[in-house]
Amino acid sequence: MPQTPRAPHAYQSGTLARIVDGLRYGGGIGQWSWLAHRLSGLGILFFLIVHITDTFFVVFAPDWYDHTVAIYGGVWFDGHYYWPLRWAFRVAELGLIASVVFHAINGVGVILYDLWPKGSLYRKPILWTVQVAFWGIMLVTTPIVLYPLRKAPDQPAASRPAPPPAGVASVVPGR
Amino acid sequence: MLSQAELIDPQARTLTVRIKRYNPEVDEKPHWEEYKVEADGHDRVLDVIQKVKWEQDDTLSLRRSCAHGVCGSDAMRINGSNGLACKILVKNLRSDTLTLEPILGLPVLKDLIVDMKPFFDHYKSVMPFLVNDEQPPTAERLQSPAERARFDESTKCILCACCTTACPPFWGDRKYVGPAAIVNAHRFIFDSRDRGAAERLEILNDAEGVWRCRTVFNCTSACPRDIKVTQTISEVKRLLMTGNIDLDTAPSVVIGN
Repeated sequence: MPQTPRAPHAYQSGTLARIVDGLRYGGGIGQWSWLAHRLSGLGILFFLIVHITDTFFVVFAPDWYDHTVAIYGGVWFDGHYYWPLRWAFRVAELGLIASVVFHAINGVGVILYDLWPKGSLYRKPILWTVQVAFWGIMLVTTPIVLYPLRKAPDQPAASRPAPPPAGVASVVPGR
Repeated sequence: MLSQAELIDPQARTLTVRIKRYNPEVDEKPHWEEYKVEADGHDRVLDVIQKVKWEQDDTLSLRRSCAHGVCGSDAMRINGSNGLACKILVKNLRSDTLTLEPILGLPVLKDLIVDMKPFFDHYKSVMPFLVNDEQPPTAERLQSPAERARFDESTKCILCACCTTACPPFWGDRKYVGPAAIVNAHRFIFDSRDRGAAERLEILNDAEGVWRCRTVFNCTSACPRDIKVTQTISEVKRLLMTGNIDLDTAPSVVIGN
């Protein structure tokens, strides 16, 4: 089979260049939905790893679990409450909700493309339905998630967590 | 006889043409160059490029053959999206800046010319030819209109590579056969005269086959022949899942859109 002669220095774009060029591609809402679907999937995977790890502490070292949950609530290892910490975890939680909601709704659309014989022909309506449903849910959810941030938690933060036993305390960093 | 006012095209505009240039003998990597071109509203993007090449910079390299959207050799990335330069008119451009790049994911040989070998290797891998070892009839192999319509969509492919190089999974994984190869496999898999469907499905039932498709739909919007590329890929996917070719009943589903 005759081979096509190749130029001596054909330019092969690297991974980073392809990512940049790919993001510049005019794929519109379809391409962004695909990217959001992939990234939200990775985000959910990351959350599950964190969640399984902290739940594992319940059996392995209950004090660590209390610490971890306290950190999610904005209480650092020194027992003091820091509002940026609590805000960061709240916003991250909102991101988690957004990821799960988008991944679920868009996933139904992907199932329709693959399994429903006419699914691919209704791409635009499916894409816009996903957008409307996602933003509809998020518009209601966002205030509910962020509203408690308006003031510090009711319980005096300094009293949480309870001082751990001496054996565990040496393992926890920052103590 | 046209009046003077009609002769002057109201849609004429001065385009700023940005072209991603690459000279394999000099450059380490591609760079951008800008040209100013007076273009008529009814000019094609290809005419604009030829004005640059013929009047301003004759080192500009591009492929083009028929220049009428049939041969598929002038596929390039025009203002961010893949298309044929000979099928896009200047009056349909949104802005006065025209950005031209080689299609993404294939090695760039020079300027807008890419190495199509990986693309055609994927095309060849799905056996894009009639497979039928049965005794040939004395006349042609007959087919009902419905049977012909079953694969009509995928016969329109001109192998310009617009779809494959618009596909994010292909950018990330060059082993993926790509939309164009699947469309051309579809053309024979759903042909009632063909007997090679099992072999082709064996090739496509792979992580680098149809299952690499993530339904991004960039291929469908890029196709200059308006082939519903994602739809044909989904049909091959569903065939693999159900094992039912459905040569007779499927057309009403596909065509009755």
